[in-house]
Amino acid sequence: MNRLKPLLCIAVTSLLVTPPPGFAASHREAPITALDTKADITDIYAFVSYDDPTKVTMILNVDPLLAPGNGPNYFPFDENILYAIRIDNNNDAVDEISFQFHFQTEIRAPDVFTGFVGAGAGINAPPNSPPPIAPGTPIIAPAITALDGDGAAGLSLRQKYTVTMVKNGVSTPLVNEAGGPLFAVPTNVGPRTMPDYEALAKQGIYSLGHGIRVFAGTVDDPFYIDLGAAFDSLNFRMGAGGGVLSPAQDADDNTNTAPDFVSGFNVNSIAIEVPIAMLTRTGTKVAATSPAATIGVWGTTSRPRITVRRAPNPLAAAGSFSQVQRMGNPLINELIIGTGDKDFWSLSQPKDDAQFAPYALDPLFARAFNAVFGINIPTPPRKDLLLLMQYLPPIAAPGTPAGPVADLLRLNTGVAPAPKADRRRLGVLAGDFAGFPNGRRVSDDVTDIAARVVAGGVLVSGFNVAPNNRLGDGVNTNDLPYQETFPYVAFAHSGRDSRHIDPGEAGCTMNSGAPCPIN
Amino acid sequence: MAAAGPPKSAQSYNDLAATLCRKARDNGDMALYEQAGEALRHSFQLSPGNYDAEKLQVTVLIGKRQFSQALKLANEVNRRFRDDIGGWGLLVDANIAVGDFDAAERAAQWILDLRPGSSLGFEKAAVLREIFGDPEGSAEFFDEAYRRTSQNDVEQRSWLLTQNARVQLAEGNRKRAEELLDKALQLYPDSQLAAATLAKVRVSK
Repeated sequence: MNRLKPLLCIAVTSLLVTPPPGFAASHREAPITALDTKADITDIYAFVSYDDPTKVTMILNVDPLLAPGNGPNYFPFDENILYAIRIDNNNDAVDEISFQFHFQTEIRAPDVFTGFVGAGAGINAPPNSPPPIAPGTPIIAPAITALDGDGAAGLSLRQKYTVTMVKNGVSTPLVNEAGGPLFAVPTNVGPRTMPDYEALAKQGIYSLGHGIRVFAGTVDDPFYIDLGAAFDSLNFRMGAGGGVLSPAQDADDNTNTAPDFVSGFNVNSIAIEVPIAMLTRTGTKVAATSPAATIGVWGTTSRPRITVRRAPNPLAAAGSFSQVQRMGNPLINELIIGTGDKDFWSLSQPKDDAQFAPYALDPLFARAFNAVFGINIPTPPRKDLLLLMQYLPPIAAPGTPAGPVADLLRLNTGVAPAPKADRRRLGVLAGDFAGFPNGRRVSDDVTDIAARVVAGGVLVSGFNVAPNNRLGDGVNTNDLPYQETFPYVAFAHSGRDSRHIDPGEAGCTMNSGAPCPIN
Repeated sequence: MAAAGPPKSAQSYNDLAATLCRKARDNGDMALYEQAGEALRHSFQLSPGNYDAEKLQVTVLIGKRQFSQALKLANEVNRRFRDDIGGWGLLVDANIAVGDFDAAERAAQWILDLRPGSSLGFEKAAVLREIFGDPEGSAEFFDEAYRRTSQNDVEQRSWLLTQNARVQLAEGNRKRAEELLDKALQLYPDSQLAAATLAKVRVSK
């Protein structure tokens, strides 16, 4: 009798891995997200769903720059993190509604050395298999084609998650309308293990009732930027105009003239689509001209906290979390907040953002462009930037209470989505009012927009001129096409077959066309 | 060979002031705070407004019982660099000194939230737990702070053991207190505070 377990064949034994309880070294290590990448929010998006103007899609991306082939454990969500998407619908910069996500990990085949395995219909031990494994013994599980049941045997590392809606203090679990758990979509290991990855990923889109849909899993990072040039002290490539795009480059939303540093990288994504009527304070979808139409959205990650005082009842302290990071508008913490305050900012609440006003009213980022490029910049205080920090026209309707200075992504839910042909990467700056800073779509070029608004001051009279209104990094689009339906992001790059498009390499735009410039 | 002149760097004076403050903490000699203040005066001459010296100035002011000034400066230091838990630690000390325990607790909680594994966070929270009447919780946190302090910093490790022992003694745990103090003196035989506390333990037997 063969007493040895087949090496790679999944005998599904559910082993729930739970974090050690209570006060221990496994609690938070550091809020500096460079040291706590699992809690690092890369981006948050909120937009009226392209294919259903009665709904809003919100996407929280975390855990940056995941190299697709980085097995064997790949990229699970962190069980100890509370992920949340928060919505302010009455202009006070406090969340009236939040959607909270908790993950749990199963290791279903503890003896297997990798999280995911599979090939064809499975591979058995060959005739020359040495004892004690008898020829014909299943060794490799069948290819992974499902998140559960048949076709899921190769999913050793599997994550389930829960979604809770907290509305005005009342918590409501949102459950799979079809019954069963919600599974996070694993990364795309490669074509042998996951031969139809798109079909597999689509199984991770769940209806939660009330018209809500959710998706969680590893996806292509939709963000695009020439990060290397930007952080080399604004050393943009001459092939992309050296930081000032030509009119032709600027007009072409579909061609890159600089390398996308994020190309070929994945990110972990939580997407939820919610009827607008569930988000506004009136409980209805209202016209864009209504002060109730505009909501504020931001994301947070939090970890269990250690408190100065011990709770009299330890169980009562079990739910205490400390915020690790938050994000509303893109690039605020990166480009506006000083290094000495970045963690403090991350742990603070948006409603208290007035304390950071000195950074925003005279941003060093603009001074840097002034110094490096010699462009004219507006004279501080930069009240034009309040558009990003308060409920103001033209995003919010006239008459909307401005509310406190707060870093929220403000979305006027009454503005209809732009059809694909009319979508502009520069959003509102290009006359496309369905894009950033009216919310943020996955395709919006927030790097160029931020450069033009914050550094170029194009919202200030007299500054919407060249070169201020042509500042840009030369990366105008993503390396994969986005989806036109929920969850709108492209699914994950293949661990086996993907590549990063680096300077000097062919295919600067979506793996085709001219090479990316080096200089 | 000519004798070396006075230090040319502010950091040297800061290091001297820090050493004097620690010594004063251990032996209670108030004159050492005056000397530390003098070292900081030189530091500021060489580098006006330097951040490390300002932080040490808070400690000196607390040592000299100039609590209101210490709190004012601690707030200024904290506002300058809010990601520095050292600044939050000074806010804890200064607020305790003026009796504002709520503010001290808020500052200590910021340390625990900003740097959850930091020795400083556990140390400050341990002090507050003792103030709040939770000696068991205080001892737990002094122990955590000790575990997370660099092995090379024997003076600080010894001080944390001594604080823990003091809490244990107050609770009547003489045996545990004696063990901790023996260890403290092994680490740092020059500690007057540890020796004095050990004497108290033995007298109480």
